[in-house]
Amino acid sequence: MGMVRPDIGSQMVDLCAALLLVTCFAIVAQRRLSACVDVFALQSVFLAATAALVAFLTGIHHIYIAAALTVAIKVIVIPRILKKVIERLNVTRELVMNVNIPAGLLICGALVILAFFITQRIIPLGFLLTRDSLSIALAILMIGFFTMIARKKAVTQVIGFLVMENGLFLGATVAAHGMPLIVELGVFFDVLVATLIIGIYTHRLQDAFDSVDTSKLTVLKE
Amino acid sequence: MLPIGASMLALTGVLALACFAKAFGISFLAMPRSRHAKQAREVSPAMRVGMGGMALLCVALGLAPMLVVSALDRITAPLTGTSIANDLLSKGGLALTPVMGEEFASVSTPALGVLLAVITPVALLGAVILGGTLRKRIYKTWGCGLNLTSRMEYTAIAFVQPIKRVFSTIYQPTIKLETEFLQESRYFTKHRSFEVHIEPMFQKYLYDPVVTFTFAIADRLRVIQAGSLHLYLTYIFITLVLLLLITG
Amino acid sequence: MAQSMTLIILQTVVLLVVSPFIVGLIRKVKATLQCRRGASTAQPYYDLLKLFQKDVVVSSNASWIFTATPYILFASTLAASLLVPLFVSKVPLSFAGDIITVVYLLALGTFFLILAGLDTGSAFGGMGSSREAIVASLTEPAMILSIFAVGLTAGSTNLSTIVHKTALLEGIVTDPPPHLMALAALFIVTLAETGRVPVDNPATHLELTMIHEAMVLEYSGRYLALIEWASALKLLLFLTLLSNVFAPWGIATAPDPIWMTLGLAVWLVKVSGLAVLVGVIESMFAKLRLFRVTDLLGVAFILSLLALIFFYTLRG
Repeated sequence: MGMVRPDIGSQMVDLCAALLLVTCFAIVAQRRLSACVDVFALQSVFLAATAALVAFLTGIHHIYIAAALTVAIKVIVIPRILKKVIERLNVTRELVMNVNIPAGLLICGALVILAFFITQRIIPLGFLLTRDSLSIALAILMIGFFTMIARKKAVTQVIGFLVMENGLFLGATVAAHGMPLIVELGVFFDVLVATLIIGIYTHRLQDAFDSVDTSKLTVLKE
Repeated sequence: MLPIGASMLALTGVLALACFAKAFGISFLAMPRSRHAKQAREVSPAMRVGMGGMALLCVALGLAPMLVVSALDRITAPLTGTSIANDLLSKGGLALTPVMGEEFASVSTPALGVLLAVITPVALLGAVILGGTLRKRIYKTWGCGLNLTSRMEYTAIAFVQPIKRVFSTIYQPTIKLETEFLQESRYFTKHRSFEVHIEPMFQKYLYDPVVTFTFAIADRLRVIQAGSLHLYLTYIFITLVLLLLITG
Repeated sequence: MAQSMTLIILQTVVLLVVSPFIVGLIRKVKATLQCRRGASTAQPYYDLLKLFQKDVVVSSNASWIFTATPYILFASTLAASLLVPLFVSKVPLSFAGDIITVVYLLALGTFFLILAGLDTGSAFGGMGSSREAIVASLTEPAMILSIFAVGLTAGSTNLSTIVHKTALLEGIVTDPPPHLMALAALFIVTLAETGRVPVDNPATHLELTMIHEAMVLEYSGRYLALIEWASALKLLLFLTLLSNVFAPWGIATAPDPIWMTLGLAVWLVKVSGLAVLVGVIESMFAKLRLFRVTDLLGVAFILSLLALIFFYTLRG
């Protein structure tokens, strides 16, 4: 139970990863959609900072390119698209959720602990820059998935999907020191196109059902 | 778990604080809110001495708990075999510390009492230095232009409304509002009654089941109370024989 | 003994002198963000002096509680502030109390303020008291839990011990995930307990928007000056807790004059930085409805609870 003293670089990566985790909690605790988008943009900034730090510490330069792409796409382009969608649909707040906020926060906490338990076994086996970052990456992935289940509005589900992708990117950067550049480029463009498609799809949802509540899609069953 | 306990202690403490602020404030402070309160008179000094003495003892116990620790230790030491009084006291008996050691935590209520007692006159003196002697004017409270009546004050139900609403899963309040309108027009009310009830959760879910269970068992055991004198003498005889057999 | 007394008196003087400056700094930041010049950062000092010299008007309905509350509030807040390390990590009064004592001393002040709000019979006072009761009942558990999350890593709840052990550690951070969650929780608690936007607006007297101001609405003259000073002290206390418990590096670990001066300067910088942050947050957000405030405080409680559970299950 004493305090550990690892070297400065991995401490900083740990700190950045922990900041990412806190922003995840902030997204789950938010009702206002534009605030969710803003916190997601902040999270992507922290993610780019983590990636740049890993690139600086390991000397693998193509991670810098991935960090720059993160800033360009996830901090600037995607939040702008999402904000346009929110504005056009005139949906500002999410009042009814499948899981309410306090219960959601507790479940996210449980997911974080679960993620740490699972990764504790893998960590001694691999060569990692830091101890906790892989666990946090898995936790962010699960929290993103949980957000997609717990929320009803389509925009928040998109944000949950994007948070999952953030977690994947963090895990890849920290554990494997980045995927090959081609793979990362492909993933980025996939995410961009997916967001555009979801923007269009939300618009059609609004036209068809006069609401962006995705649970209304069950009507199509009949 | 220690921290959860500490935080629940804080929650309980603040809710108890709000409860007593309500009880004392609504009954005694500002203008009387009912005819009974207006006509109430203080009781005789003899009655006040008893209650006041016990209140002073509470305060004394809070300010000097170390006196009681040694006394209590003399009772528990023979029972448990260990004496923890010396572990609990430190700084020459001025502070209380847990058994884990002085490093973990330490509180000294006499020192805090002295600190508060020193700061208050210093603040008074400072106020006099900075502002001269006190010039006080007494005037009525602002009532938005009207004369303030007791009906404009906060009532007990109003005071606890936020707490009741936030903790409504525990209190489960029910509200009943009945209105009687004038015959001539439904725009004017003749009579209105408002009732608020809260569920007695502890009684319903803790005490009542225990009481019911106890009564059920008592009912079953009633068979041994047949009422016959010979049966009771037989019970005593059997118990005596068993005792002689076991101890003999 | 003499050294302890000088340290205590020095800490008192520093606290009393710096607290109005912090209030002035927050107002200046808010004014700058609103594109106006605003009053100087020394304005709260002039305000306090002016209030001390004014006459006092007391309501005819009020009892002795009304006149005693400002002194009790001031004394309890100052006593709580003396238990928190400022520029040296081992405070002379550290034997007198730990974090729970600090919380309860602040609760003593809050109790008397709630009674004083009910004392004058005005509806504003009762409203402020009832709102303050619910906000206080939700902030205090979160505050204790978040300090415990750091304290258990250091193995103590005594604030001096926590700060001392954390300051002696090399490197820049101790254990980011639970400590950052506890820091976020304590920051929300700070905004709630000191009556800042988004919980309560300290600059308004509209009945929809005030909690602390409603309770002290009837005060004037030196009583109001003492209450304002006490609330500035409370703000400084919380900002000091945020900076010295979570990031105490720079604090003097021994009562040596040179290190203490350095510690004082570092503390001033940290607390001013936090004050600027509070000012920015006050300008960014609107005040929340009362029952949304309870949601926010519930989030703070759950965050600190999670930080603690994290610590227990994963760190030993």
